[in-house]
Amino acid sequence: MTIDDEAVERLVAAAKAGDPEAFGSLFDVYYGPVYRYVASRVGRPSDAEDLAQLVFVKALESLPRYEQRGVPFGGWLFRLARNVVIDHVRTRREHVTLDVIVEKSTDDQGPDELAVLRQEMDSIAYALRRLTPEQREAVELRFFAGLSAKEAAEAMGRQEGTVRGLQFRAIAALRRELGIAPDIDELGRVSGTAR
Amino acid sequence: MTELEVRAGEELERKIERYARLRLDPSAAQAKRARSMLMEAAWRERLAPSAQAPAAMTSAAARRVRGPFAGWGARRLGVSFAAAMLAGLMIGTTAFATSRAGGPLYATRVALEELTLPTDPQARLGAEIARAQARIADIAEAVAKDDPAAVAAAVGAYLSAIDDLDESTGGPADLALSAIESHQLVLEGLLARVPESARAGIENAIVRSGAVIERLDAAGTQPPTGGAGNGNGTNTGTGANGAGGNGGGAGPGGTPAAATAKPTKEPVTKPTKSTKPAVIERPARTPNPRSSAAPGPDSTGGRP
Repeated sequence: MTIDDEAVERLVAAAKAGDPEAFGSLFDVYYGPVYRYVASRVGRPSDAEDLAQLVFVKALESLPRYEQRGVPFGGWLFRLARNVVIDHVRTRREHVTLDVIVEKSTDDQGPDELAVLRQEMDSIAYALRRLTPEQREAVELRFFAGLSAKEAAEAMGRQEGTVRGLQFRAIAALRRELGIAPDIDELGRVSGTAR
Repeated sequence: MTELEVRAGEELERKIERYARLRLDPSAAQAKRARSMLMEAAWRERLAPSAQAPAAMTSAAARRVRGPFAGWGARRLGVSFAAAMLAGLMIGTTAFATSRAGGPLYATRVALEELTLPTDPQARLGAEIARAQARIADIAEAVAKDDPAAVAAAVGAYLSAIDDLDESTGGPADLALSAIESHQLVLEGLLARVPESARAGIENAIVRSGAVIERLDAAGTQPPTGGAGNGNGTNTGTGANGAGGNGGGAGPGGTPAAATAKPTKEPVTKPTKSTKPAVIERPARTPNPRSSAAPGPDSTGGRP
């Protein structure tokens, strides 16, 4: 995200007061992450587009009832997204995989590089599928959507420490699957960032 | 405040980020579409704060969220409902008026009634009797209005109804018989009051109902299984009465002439049913209990 939490809260307050442009700014901030999260869970781009749109429609409807009270807006929004995805999967009864997701074309790469890249994407998709559902969701929220641990915890309805534990185990499993050597900082390090 | 951050490591983070960018990012067109839709919805909500939900939702998933009239106020709903009720009442009144005997929709109404008859034989017989009664009521109404065209239409419908009744395959035949006998009485009563131009129609109805009475009478009270056809003329015995059909034949005292002595028991020519198979070709009927119960010399009396 390219906007700090305080700015987000200002936009949320303005949107709640009925400012459409403020809601548009929130959309600009969160649409990409929401779409990534939804796409990683439903697979089909057309479904992802519809569902991401539905998440924001629901957010627009529910925004007057949103009260911060320690709940970050990102966590609240991704909880909506998570519920929309769960409803969709329950209704459709489909088990989709990341394999069906269409790759974006990259103009600056030749056929050999594209083949290598595709192989790498496939191996990551495979490694992700090997994770437990909760580990995978933690990865989706933390890395694909870029949420903080607190926001991810709010979205998943779990404790922040639980999410960190899931993330830790997911990273270890991904490294193992992808053949990446452990980092010396693997077990965590003190970070000064808010996230 | 500092927090313990779990790091994926540079290489893994780079791979995951590239994966997300190449496989999960929305296209610019998708983002643009979604944004324009959302902004329209946000502005609608801003301009119409009473609306429950934005009206610009277009996706199938979004349509599930709200009902088709979610944005309607109570007054608008009430006015629309009242208008719909009034329109329905007017249409219903008009349709009722035009579907009376002589009206342009009368034939349609009769045809619809015929189409909606039950399939169960017992229920169908009852419904056909009721249908014939309704047509008699139509005739009486048309005669009361002194409307020859309506009389003709109602008589035509009545003839069709009793033909169907005649062919009905379920239920005791004497139910139909008593109904048509009462129809005949009504028709004879109407004959004195009917306009001259419609007189022939009523007379025709009387003749035709008489023919049906003859056939039902001949069938006896057995629940007909293959149609309410008559059984006269099929006697092979010597003492059977004509109405008994194949149930007779056991009585020695009768004569074949006795079986044919009642000319009215002969099949009556039905203009509209001329293609029906001859009576003697029908499957053998269940013996009539009334004729088989008392076979003998006294059994020539026919129907009690």
